[in-house]
Order: sequence, then structure tokens, then C-alpha cells
Amino acid sequence: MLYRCKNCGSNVVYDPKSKKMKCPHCEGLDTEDAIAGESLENCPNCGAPVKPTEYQSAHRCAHCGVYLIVDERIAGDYKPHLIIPFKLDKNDAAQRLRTSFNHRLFMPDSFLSEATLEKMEGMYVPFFLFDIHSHYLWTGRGTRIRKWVSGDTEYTETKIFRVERDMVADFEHVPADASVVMDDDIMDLMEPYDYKLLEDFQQKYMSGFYGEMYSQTAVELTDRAKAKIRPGVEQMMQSSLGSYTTLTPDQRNMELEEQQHEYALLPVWVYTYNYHGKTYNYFVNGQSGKVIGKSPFAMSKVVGYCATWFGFIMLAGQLIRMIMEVL
Amino acid sequence: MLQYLKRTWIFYSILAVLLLIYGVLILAGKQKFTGFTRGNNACDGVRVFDNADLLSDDEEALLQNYIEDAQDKVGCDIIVMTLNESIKDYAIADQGYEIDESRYVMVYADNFYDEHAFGYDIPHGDGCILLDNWNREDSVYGYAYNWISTSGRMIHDLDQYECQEILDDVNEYVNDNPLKAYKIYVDGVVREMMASDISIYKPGYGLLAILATIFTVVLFFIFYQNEFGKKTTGNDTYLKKGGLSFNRKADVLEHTHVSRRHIERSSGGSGGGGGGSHVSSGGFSHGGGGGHH
Repeated sequence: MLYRCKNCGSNVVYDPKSKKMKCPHCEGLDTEDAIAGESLENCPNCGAPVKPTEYQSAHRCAHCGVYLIVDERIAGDYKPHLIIPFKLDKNDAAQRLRTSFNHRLFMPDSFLSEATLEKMEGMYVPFFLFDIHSHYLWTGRGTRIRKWVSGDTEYTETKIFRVERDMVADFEHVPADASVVMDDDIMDLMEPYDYKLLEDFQQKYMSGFYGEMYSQTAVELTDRAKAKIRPGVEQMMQSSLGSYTTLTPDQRNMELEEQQHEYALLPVWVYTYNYHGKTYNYFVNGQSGKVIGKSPFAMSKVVGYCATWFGFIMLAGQLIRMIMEVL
Repeated sequence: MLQYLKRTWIFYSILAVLLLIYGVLILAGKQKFTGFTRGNNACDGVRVFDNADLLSDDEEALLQNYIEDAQDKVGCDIIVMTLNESIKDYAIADQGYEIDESRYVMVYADNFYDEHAFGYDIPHGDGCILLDNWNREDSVYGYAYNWISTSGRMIHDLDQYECQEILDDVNEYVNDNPLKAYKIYVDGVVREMMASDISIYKPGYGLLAILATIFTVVLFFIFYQNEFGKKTTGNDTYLKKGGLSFNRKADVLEHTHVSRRHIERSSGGSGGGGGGSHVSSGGFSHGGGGGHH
């Protein structure tokens, strides 16, 4: 399906700035009509053949450029429960990238040029958000040692305690990306999202962006979500054990239990940059603006700047020598 | 290119400023250091006291002129004195106790400098005196001792080891050619004083290259940022509000014990002393070093 403007017939997309559906042609707000598609293979706007990839739930017609939503990939089992709509538009995301990489001297000149920014696309990434209940039982012995000196004698007092902790911690909305396309480590670095802006899913938010349906199930991802919170639970327990000199556990048993999960789409801007035959991907959190990316190096710049710095010290040193000789 | 200039203009600006300073100095004709200004008029201008009569009158005049030129280069009085007599009784009487034979010349030189109120800047100020006593004062080996006594800023700028180095050079020639030896003393003083004045300002090319390499490497690593992003979630990011609780939290003291250990105390200590400058019987500070021939 696609959203068409009632006024001018152009493709209406979601505008993060106004938080409304907006026609980029006539600038009309909330003027959309939903036009259903008849098949996956043809664009409902121009009829040209389209080929969404295996997991794409939203994409763009290469022929007429309208944004298409694949109905059956956001319906039934694949219907997301929640969505965080894009808060940053393309210009905001590009600005975040510029700010982050501006101070990196060795970047190629073409990086973030207007031409390459054309390739930047917003994408809704599928996540499962898990609510996890943790129960941690720790029992053992702790010692507290105190030393002091009186005269020629050093005293060491050792107190031995029986220590017991029965801790419960509840976590909510622990995210695990459900896309085989997106790198798990990168998606983990995209976090955190502000869940106050989570909304019930509405498909109109997808117009103007790419999107994916989940390609990994919640069952497959449960362990990854648990692994994310396990260090936190351990840390909370260690904090509660406090100021013992030594701790010797008799029993330590951590249980993590998934209570429920929800399927959500979270916004990410993706900028793809090709340099010397290598592809570099940059990601901007579509809500917070957090930037993830690896710098490419232009060797000519590395050599140029290093030669400048080296030459500067040599020349400045020589000039100082000459000035001192004159003085 | 524009970006390169935007990011390197500060370096080129500094170079331009340095070049400008150099140019202004050249244009101002300030090509040579014009020397120090003498501040002490309490002593006369005689700098050669050849009591041992080792030098002819012409040689004395030559050495006097040579010293006068050197003094203005370094801003210090430079005195040469020769003796050929025992100064043992004088030195012991001055100190009030027995001292090493090699130190008689030190006592005499210090007092001679003080009594004549030498010093380029002020009386008893910057300067040094070479006392060369040809009397073989050493009772065992028959050495004739000499000494360079320093005063004012020369105490620090011409230390004991540098004095001994100069005297080593002097003593190599003094028996055959005293004039040459005493010129070597004057040259040595000038060389050491100039070196102490300018060494911090004139790094060699090797040092410059090392500094430039370090500067370049440091800047390279500052700008060589290749990180892929930082984790910004904490342990409690997804903890539910009020989601942490304890069903049981107990710390029960089971028992306490105290152990004792006797501390072995050791006694002892050590001391040491240093060298450096000394004070003459006139109450003025002197440094320096000695030698023999």
C-alpha cells in the first residue's frame, strides 16, 4: 500500500518535525488516502515491477520513488505491537553525523557530501522488547578485618558473618533486534531508546521510510535479552553485599525468567558510504541521534597532515634558533 | 584544500610570526649581542698579577687585553694571578686549622678576590680568578697547585667539574707556555659561560627531529579515531521503576577473634654530606675547583 495526497496525488509521508503526515509536493498536512496494493510484485502507483527483499516490510519503488508498505508483512503474526516514530528527519540525522565526524581530520572530502547523503535512508528495525523477572539467591560467609597497633603489638580483629541475600529485580522492555540483516552489536550500541515515546503501532508512521519484519523469533532471542541484563543483576547483588573484606559463597543462584515480550519497530537512519571499493555504514538513532560509525581514512590526508605537523616543528625550531642567534 | 587550510592556518600563522620577528630583528640591525654593562667601579682594571714573573711585559699586556675582551662577552671579571712562594702559613693562619695542601691556593684566591672587590656587576659579584702557585707546595709528590675561584652567578654557571676540566687543559701547557695556558683558561671560562647561557635556547637538529616526530605521532593518534561507538546503557537502564527488592537481607555476626603480632623495631640511620660552594674568611660565597702540575 501507499499513502496518496488527496489534494495533489503525490506520495504522503510521515514528517518527524510536524509529527503529522505531510505531502512533500503541496505541503498539505494529514491529506493522505491509503491506497491498497494488489500484489507484491507491482508498484500500486506506477505499476512498475518492484522487488522487496526477503524481510522488507516497507521500501521504495525504484521507478517512481513512492514509499510502499507491504501489507502482509505488517499483519497477523507480523503486526508490530509498538513503534517509536522517527523524531529526527534526514537533515537532523545528517547534521548529527557531521557534528560527530567533523573533527576527524583524515576523513575523505566526499564523506557526507550532498551527493552521498542522497543514499541516507530511514529504516524501522524490528525488535522484541522483553520483560524479565530475575531472582538471585546468595548465601555465604563474609569477613571484616580491622588492624591497629598499640605499642610494639599489631592487633588483627577478624569478624565472621553469615550473609544472606534474596534479591528480586524486574526489567522491562529489554530490547533485542530481530533482524538478521542488521548487525547485533551495532543495534546494541544504538540503545537506549526513550520508551516514553513508544506508541501503539500505526502503519502510517512507516510511509517515507524503509522497514523490516522480524526475521528472528522471540523464542530465539530470549537468551540474548537475558544475557544483556545478567551483568546488571550480578552488579546489583555485589553492591548489596557491601563492604566485606572477603566473601565466600555457599550458594549463588540467579534465575532469569521471561514474563512477556512485545514486537516493536524502532527508528534508525542508515548512511552508506563507498570509498575505494569498500562500503562503510553509519547509523544514527532516529530518536536520540546517537551516532555509530567507523572512520575511513584518506591516505593522502594522513600524509599531508603528518608532513605539515613535522615540518612545522622543524621550521619553527629553526626559526627560533635563528632568532636566538640574532639576539 | 580549503578544509586543509582551515585546519592548519594556526601552524602557518605561527611560522609567519616567527619569520616576521626574525625579519624585524635583522632590519633593526640587531645582529650581534652588544655585551654586558659593567656595574662595579670599586676595583681597578688590572686583571693580570704575574707575581711569579712568568710572563714578559708584552705578554702581560696581551693577556690583559685578551681578558678585557672576554669579560664583556660573558659579563664576568676574569683574573689571572701567579705566585711562586709558599702560602701554607698564610692559609693555615687564615683558616685557624690544618687544611689540605691543595686547598692553600683556594684560601689565597678567595681572599685576593674579596680584598680587591672584583665582580663585573657589583663588588664581590660575578667573576673568577685563576691562582697558579708555582711553588711546589706538595710535600710528597712535589705538585704545584692551582685553583679557579668563582663568585656570584659563576658559582653555579661554572661548577667544580667545569673548573677542573679547564685546569686540566691549562696544566697541559702551563709549564712550556704559560701565556698559551692562561689564554686557554680565559677561553674555557668564556666557552662554559656562553654554553650555560644559550644551551636551553638552541636545540640541535637531532633534538628538533625527535620533538617533531613526537609532536606528529601524538597528533596522529589524537585524530586517529576509529571507534565504532560507545555503549551508553547502564546496568539499570531497563530496571523497572521500583523493580529492585530484597526478600531477605541478613548479615549475622557468627564470631570474632583477635590475633596479635609483635613488631620488630630496627634502629639505625645514615648521614651524608654534599659539596658545592664555600664561604671565605671574608664572609663571601665562592665556588670553584683545583688542580696541580
